[in-house]
Amino acid sequence: MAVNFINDDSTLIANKMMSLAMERQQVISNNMANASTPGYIRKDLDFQKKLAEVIQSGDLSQLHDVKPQLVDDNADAPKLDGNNVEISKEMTQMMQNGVLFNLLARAYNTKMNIIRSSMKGA
Amino acid sequence: MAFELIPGSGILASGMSAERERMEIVASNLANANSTGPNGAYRRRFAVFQTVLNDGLDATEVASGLGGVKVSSVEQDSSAGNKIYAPYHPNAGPDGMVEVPNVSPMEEMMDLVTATRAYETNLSAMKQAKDMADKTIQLGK
Repeated sequence: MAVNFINDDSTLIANKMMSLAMERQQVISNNMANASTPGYIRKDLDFQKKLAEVIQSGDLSQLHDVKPQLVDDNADAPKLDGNNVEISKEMTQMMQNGVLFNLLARAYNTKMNIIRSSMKGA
Repeated sequence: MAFELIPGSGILASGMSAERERMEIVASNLANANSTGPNGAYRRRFAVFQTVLNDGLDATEVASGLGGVKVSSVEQDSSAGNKIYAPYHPNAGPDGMVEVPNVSPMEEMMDLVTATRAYETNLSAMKQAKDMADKTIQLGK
């Protein structure tokens, strides 16, 4: 077994993805706050490709280099006032983001509980 | 990363205060729906929203693009109001016509409902952000 059994691969990935989910929550919040600002184009984070590359390469020390980029999302055409935020889309994205965060938090907790019960031996 | 335990709380707070200001302007328009004056009637007011960029020292690459929203100015709708014939009125012109405000109650109610829904959206995002912070401080328990 690896020497470092607390900060192993799954923990590192879970931590990184939780911090990404936190940042994504901020981006979605900003989209919601600007739902009626004329000319506002919805924003999103771009990190998936880089994250997948690092995880596939197997060298998780590169996780620090995965820095999300703030990009404009022009997938939806803007309305007459130049704003392309759709509240229903933001709510869905926010819900998915929250579920992902909860899942990661639970995975981390489960891992810690496994270690704890193996240390207690009961 | 800037230390923000509740992700996006400042942004959502800015959204909520902007929507509240919009509601107050609607309230002012509705309250003044019958206000006339010697220099013309009350003119409908409306809020202009503007995106804010985060220029704080703690701004990271991502956070620097996210500062929420603000009401940049409150403008007056300069379109002329209807005129009604009321020669007895103190604000009537020489032709006996009085200008009434260009406030449309229906339009104002629409604006009020939109602002309320937007406020609720920000509030529900705030709730989820709070749940995330709850989960964070309970990690490993």
